[in-house]
Amino acid sequence: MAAAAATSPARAAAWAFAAATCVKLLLVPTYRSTDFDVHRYWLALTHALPARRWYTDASSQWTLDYPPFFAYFSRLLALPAPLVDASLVSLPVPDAPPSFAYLLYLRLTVAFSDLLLLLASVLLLATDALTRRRRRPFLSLALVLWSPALLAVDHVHFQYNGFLMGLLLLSLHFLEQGRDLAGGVVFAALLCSKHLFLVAAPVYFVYLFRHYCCGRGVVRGLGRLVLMGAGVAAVFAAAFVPFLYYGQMQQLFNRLFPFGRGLCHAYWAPNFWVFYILLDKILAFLLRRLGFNIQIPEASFTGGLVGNSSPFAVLPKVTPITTFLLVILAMSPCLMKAFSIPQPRHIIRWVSYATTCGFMFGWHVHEKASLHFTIPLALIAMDSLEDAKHYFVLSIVSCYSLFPLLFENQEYPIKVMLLLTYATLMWVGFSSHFAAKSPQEGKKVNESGSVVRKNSFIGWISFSYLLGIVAIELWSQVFHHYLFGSRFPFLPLIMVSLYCGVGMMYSWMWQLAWIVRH
Amino acid sequence: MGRLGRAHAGPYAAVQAHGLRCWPSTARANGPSCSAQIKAGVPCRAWAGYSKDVPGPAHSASYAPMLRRAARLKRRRRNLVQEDSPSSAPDPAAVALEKDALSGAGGAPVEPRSGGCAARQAVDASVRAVAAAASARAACEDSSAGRLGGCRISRYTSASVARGDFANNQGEPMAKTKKPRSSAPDPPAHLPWHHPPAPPVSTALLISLAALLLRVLVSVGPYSGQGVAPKFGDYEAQRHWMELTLHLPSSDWYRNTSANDLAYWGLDYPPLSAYQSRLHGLLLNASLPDAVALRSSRGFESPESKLLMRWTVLSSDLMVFFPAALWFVWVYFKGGVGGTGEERMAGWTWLLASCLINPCLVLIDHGHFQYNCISLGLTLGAIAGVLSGNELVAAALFSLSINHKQMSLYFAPAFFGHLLGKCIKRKYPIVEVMKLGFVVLGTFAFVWWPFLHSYEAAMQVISRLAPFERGIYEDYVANFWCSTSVLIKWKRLFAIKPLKLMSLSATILAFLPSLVQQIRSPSNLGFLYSLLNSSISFYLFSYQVHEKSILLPLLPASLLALQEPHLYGWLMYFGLFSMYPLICRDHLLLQYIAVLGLFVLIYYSPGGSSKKGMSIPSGAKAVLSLALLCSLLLQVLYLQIEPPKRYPFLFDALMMFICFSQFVILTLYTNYKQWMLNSHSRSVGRKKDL
Repeated sequence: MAAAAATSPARAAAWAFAAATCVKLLLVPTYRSTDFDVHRYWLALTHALPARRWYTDASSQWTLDYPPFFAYFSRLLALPAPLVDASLVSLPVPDAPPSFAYLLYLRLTVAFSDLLLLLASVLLLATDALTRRRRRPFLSLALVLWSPALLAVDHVHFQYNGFLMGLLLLSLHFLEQGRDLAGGVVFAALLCSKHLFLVAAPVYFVYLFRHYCCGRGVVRGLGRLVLMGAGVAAVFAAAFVPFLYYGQMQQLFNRLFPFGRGLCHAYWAPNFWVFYILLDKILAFLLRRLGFNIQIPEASFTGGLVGNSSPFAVLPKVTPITTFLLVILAMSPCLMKAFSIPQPRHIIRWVSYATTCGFMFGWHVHEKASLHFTIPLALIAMDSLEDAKHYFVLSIVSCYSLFPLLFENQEYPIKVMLLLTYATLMWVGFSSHFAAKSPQEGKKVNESGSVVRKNSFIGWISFSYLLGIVAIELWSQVFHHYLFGSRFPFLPLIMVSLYCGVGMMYSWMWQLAWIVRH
Repeated sequence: MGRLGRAHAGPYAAVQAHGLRCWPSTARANGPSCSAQIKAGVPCRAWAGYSKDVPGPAHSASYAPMLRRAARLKRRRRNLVQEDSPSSAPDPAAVALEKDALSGAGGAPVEPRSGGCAARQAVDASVRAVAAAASARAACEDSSAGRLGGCRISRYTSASVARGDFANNQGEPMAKTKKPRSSAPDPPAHLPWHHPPAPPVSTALLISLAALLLRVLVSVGPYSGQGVAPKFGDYEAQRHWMELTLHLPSSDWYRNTSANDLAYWGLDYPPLSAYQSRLHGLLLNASLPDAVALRSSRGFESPESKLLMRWTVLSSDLMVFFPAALWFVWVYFKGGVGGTGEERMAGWTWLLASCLINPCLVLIDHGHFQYNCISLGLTLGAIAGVLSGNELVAAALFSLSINHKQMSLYFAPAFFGHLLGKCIKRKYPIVEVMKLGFVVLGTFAFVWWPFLHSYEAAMQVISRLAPFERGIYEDYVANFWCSTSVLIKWKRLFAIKPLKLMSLSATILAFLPSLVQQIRSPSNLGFLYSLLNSSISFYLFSYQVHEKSILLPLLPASLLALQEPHLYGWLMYFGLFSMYPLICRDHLLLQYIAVLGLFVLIYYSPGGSSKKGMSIPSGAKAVLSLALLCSLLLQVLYLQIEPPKRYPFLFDALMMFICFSQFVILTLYTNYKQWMLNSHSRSVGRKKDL
């Protein structure tokens, strides 16, 4: 039976991926956001127009604002489209809702591009890293492939995060293997696909500089520095030179980095700024009660746009520079670690931590950005009991914070069931995994005072925090309506942001503490 | 379930757990890092055990201690053979020896086994295991792969020792030695629920949640007759019944009145269905009164009403079918059905998954839109009741099931035969039969109460339930009458009355063998076979069968998934295939592909039980795979190619033939199996007598 239960990781991964694909097929008829129209337009744009006009065309409101590699990727996905339906790639994109064939085609391109994620996960699972004590269990791969947050964002809301995460994981795989050059080049390709990953660039830079270039003598080090620089520069050249040639760099950068967006997105991502804004509101309220003359500014945070005036009543105004400095400051312990002892086995943690910092303190962060660190952290979730506990809380919080994305009634049971199934999967998987190991690790765990009973591997604080999510959800779905009717429509959203913000702060501090300790 | 686990498979689970645990750590590590592992205290006892024997770089001579140890064990075994006495008390020496041997082979803690004989056997095998491991290791070169091969062998052998199936594994360890050397050893990838100590309650919860998720996902798709005025489909029928039962008195439910036009989706299911419609109608009325308003709501369709209607099916499924399935699996593993304890323990997750993730049921209930989950759930509860010995509960549940959908009568011969056979074997057979009859009659009277005040009222309902005037078959259904109608035009040659008689006698003839078998020697496993046989007999031969009725034979087939994995997979696939034209009419093709894909994936899940069971002869395999190939081809042709004008239903007919042939083969096979069960149990009894 043991022999029958054993299967090669590639086969098991293909199995898990195929199961996920079946679920993705079932998600085809579900709700899709305006991102669907965005990508629909991009497909048509890159297919119908020459590259010269990609960043200048304004026939739709959804202008191309991703770096060139993503545009190339769209071009690639548009190649077989005329075989399905010629109207798929004609400009201007019609306003009518898409036909079923059209919808199916676009949904399938997402499922197809997830193959890169599969490839990266198989490589990470089958990795023969000298640095690792043991291989990753199959479950850690299933946690990536079956991530409900990824399913919700990619296959319901409609984005191509599976592809981008695949690139990131591929790069991490190379770094973990010690193939730094390949890792750096893949990361450069990722940056040229989505520039949001720039937050991870400092860690990459420090790590690669120290691990790849230093410690091998000046000449060889310089040689390697040049090699790495050439590799990365070649990738960037492949992406940007055509547009440099057309003289559109200014236009391209205006598209990539739009100014005038607010500190927070319309729906507040559960990060540090939620606390900051709420503190400001509370202080303003208290000070006015005490008789101070506080002016409540006009600008609303829910609008997402900010003018010249400060949106804060009491606390100092936050500028993009402030957030940039804060991110770097939060990242600095990790950078120092990466500088002093660059170890491949910690690279996943470091990169995840860097993206976490970007999420916590960044400017105009979307809630979807939490995927950028929950997915890599899933890979190391089974390394130790502490990791498992942390990931259990983090993944639930991150997925729950995405709930407001799917706001229609039809998707409500889907998102709830996805999260519940995933949480139970983690519960079963983690508790059996660590129960099986407890004869060896039992003593150690006992000393640290955690609960080691077979069926409960998380502590009561985390458990009651997670129960709080149920309470928040009940409140926003049922009681809020009874108490306030249609008044304060943003209150449930703010509560979700705030409550998930607590979990995210915990995750950030936990990761920080881990990095400082190890 | 946890208690069961310990009772059934103590040593097995322990060893397997250990084997699995140590495996990933040993795989793929090479020399220096392995010793580093040991220093670092990696949880790999097998390695640690060896490291005592093999310090430093290993070479062939280092295995001498192991060979010596094997020889020592052999000597001690000889001693044991001499004193081979059937003592019931555990022999301490043998137990100690066994422990010793096992820790040498795999380092696994094994609980002592009772009986000197068993101990001797275990030692016997462990001698073999150690010897095999040692010789394999000695044969290996100094390469790290070779050493790992040895380690791997020790795992296999230790597991097989604990399992006790020595005869099968005699040659196996040696055969396995070659594998790791040629290819890099792959670590076993496990689904989380295949970890031996997986907590049963949360594992069952996980499977139930996954099954519910699948239903929710399928329910996003279209329903039958969506937007097809004026007649719509089953969705409209159900909604119409809610409207009727909500607004009309019960006396008018089955009568043609000004408010109830029987020609437009008249109610044609028994009263329990009507009550269920009324309950759901009340729920709909509370939140969306327009959807069930009398007369004005005909053909009412809106996203909200679709959601609410879907929710009524989901909640019925969750409240009836899920508990019944969980109860069944619980009863099955409490020892209700034959098979060794270990086999059943290993497969309970699989059985639960195959019960809950039944692709046909999911597609018809949550895609096409029906409430089969209620009647099938009640039947499943009744089956669990029979297996657990609660016959009266079973009788009540089965009566309720018949009162929800008269199609549940397909199972009646099996219940009748099994319960009668059991009662006859008891002390007071008449009293037992009376008790059952009283419960059945009482349940029927309770359900039919509003219609029992006059003979006419009851007959009115019954005439609605048996629509003989609709002909012996309607669309293309893969049963006997429809398939043979190509040669014999039954509808043209015979009137309704002789056809009724013919189909009745054919059905009785078809289920008679299984009925007789159950009356003569009722057994739990035989009961499950009998359910399958009688329901498929009805499907093949009875009057007015719909293609959706294949759901009924599929229920017992999924319950037999552990006993007959091939049968289960085959019947499920062709059952699904027989509904393919219906699926295409409902525009559920996407859901069909996804659900079929998930079914195949679960069937071949890593570590699933699909490989168990009988081996099929290659000739039969060729014939069967031809049918499979044809079915796949037809599915593509059906969508892509217009059938010739003269035969517009050519593809439907071909599909019907393929499915019919498969169903007939499977029926013959299951009848044969049920009868062999009989002779097998008798031969076992005879041996006992001797």
